[in-house]
Amino acid sequence: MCSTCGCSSTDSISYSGFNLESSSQHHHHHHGETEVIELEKNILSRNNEIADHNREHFRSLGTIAFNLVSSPGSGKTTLLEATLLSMGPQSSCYVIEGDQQTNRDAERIAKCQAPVVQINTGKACHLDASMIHRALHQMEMKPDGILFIENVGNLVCPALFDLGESKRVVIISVTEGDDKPIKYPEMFQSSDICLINKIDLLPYVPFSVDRFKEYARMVKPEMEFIELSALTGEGLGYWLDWIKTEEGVTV
Amino acid sequence: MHEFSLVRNVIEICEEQMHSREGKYISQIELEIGTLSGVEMDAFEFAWKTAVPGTLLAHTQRKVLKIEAKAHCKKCNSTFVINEVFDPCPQCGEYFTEIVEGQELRVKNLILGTIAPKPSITNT
Repeated sequence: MCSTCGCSSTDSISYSGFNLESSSQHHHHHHGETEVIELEKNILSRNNEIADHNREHFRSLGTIAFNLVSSPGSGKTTLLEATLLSMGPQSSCYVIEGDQQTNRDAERIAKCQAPVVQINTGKACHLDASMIHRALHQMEMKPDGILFIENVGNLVCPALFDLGESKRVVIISVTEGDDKPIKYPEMFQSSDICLINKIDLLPYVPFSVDRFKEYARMVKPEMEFIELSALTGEGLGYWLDWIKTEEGVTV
Repeated sequence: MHEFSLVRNVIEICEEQMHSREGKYISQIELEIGTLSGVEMDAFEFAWKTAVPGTLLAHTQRKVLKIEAKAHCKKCNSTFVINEVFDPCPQCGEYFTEIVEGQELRVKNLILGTIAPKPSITNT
């Protein structure tokens, strides 16, 4: 029995109960020599099961988990550094870093005194729920903490994979095109809040914040936005306030 | 290229099913993929060709049932076909819509065949 979340194994979950249930619901019929199994099974069902398991683990600990998604280079790690330094070492913040290669991001986060686990996905372009589950087994989280999961920089693939997070946060930087929401709609549609980063560069780039918001609202009309610069700290307070509000919601 | 992960998941789902079915093989698999499921069919095709050799789906015929995306307008209650997540309601122009179909990613069914018993080899 694993001490982290009470599941039966140290590196994967047993799904025997789930499999039995699903197979008993199948409708079988035979056509002479052939047999048809009517499955109607979600291809992502295994990921979603593990995501639910992670979510339950977070709920039991009172942890709030944020899945940070964006293109590469939007400033996710810089935002995390600024966030952790502002919140101080006594806040129970934890970080899971996802990258294809290297421990560079984890090393940066470690300097901010936060416990961090780096996942190297190798060739994979996204984090999935089982990777998070395995990372959680390496991390002893105290109750009522905040977990930041920095996904692999990619505006496409991570959209499909529920990690069990409480909220999904999409980050866009003003050096990207302001039409990103309609080019990568799944990511914006699946996110709960959108951070517009690097606003200190707005005078130098053709990015229109209004146009960007208009596109994002086409995809997700109820989208919330926070404009900030992780580098200069401008607007960071709004983000920290939002985190506090979300913490209040979970408690 | 999350399509590769999806194909791996399909293989796992099939392995679960075939675990207790000795003497059977999967002759055909039917998938349901919505047009707004986030799957690029060319990438899926490529991932399939890369991932299935050497697995229990290596010789399986694959059928894909495309599911056309539909949205429901929260303002005027009409339901309409969409090509993109952000297509507005054609009746009232509202973006406040809910996708009701087209995000499916499912293994619909498997058709199994019986493996013919190997002819017994006799020494001459």
